[in-house]
Amino acid sequence: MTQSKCPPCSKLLFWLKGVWRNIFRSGPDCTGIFGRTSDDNRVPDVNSEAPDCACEKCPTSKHSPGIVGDSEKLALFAFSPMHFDRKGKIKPNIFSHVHQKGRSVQRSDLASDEELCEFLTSFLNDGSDRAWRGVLIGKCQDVRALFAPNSTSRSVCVYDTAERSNPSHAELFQSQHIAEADQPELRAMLFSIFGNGQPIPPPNFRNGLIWGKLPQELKSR
Amino acid sequence: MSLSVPTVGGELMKNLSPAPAQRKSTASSRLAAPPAYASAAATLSYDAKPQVKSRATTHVEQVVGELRSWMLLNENWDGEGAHRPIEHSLAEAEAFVRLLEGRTDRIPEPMLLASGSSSLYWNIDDLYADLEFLGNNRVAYFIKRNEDKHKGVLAFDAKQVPAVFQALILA
Repeated sequence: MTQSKCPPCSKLLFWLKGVWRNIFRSGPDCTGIFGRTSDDNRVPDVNSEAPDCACEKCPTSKHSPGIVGDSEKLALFAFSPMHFDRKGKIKPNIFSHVHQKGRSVQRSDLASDEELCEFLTSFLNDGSDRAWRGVLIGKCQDVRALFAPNSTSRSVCVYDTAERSNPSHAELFQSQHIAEADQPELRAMLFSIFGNGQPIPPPNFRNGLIWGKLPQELKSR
Repeated sequence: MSLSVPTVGGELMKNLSPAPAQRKSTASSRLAAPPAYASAAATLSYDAKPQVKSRATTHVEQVVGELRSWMLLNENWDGEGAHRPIEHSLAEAEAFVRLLEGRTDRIPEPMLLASGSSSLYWNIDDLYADLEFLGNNRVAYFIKRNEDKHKGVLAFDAKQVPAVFQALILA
């Protein structure tokens, strides 16, 4: 399934596939799996029920515009103080959610300016010390090309986890093949894929269209 | 009569125990005078101002201060559901970075991970290193030096820098 530019068509197709799946019981029930995972252990729970990135092949949400294609670009929004060191450089801890809860990203090719602005405004309003400092861009195909050590098994899954108010939301989950000792290396590899920590400054992202739409109070932090 | 305030580091800092609930600021280069000096100061005349030797906070002290400040954080410190920082992990990271004082000018950046573990991170010139302190006297690490990669988990007793790190990071 390729990414669709017709949201109603995507929804119809999604419904038809759900009917087909229920009739012929093909593949895991990814919507159900993602719906019942515990908040703290989403990554291990999903890996347990749908190993080897099985849920990449089907949407996990009724709000889905379609599964994430290999050719898509993924945008990771970086905020201070959480993700930056004292010299203003991004730190690899920005990827540490990939191990347990899932690392949220935005599907850059799908997300509208309004959706991104709404996402940023909501996140920034939740914490008075947060400031938007940049965007890291990585290619989905590069993330999916990561393999576990000494193995042909993949390291990271890229799931379509659309939300009602954020339909371009996706997540990176480490696969079940990553052990505790592999996690620092995995963060390093993702760090490399997403621009080695060199963010696009907010005024330069999408020619400043998102930055320009933000309330002044959020821009001046 | 001149007074000199004990400088930060060495035995004095070793005797300080973390008290995050009472701490209002991160590590500072100025310390309150210990009781012996306080009583001596009380006998001085108003015009005899103590000579305070001050110096800039070292890089290690800045890192220690930042690690200690993280003890005050709660769940969801990153706004994305991160776990509360693990005290033992922070203590291990602090112990490690203190061991670097005077041994290298390559002082790492501290990182807090979504799991609550803390990590020390280098990304300088030919060195990339991520040392994650697991809170149970073990360190998971990945080090890239020039084009060579090393990774694993090893024990850390907080008393000396493990030999692997001496060779790969400090050398």
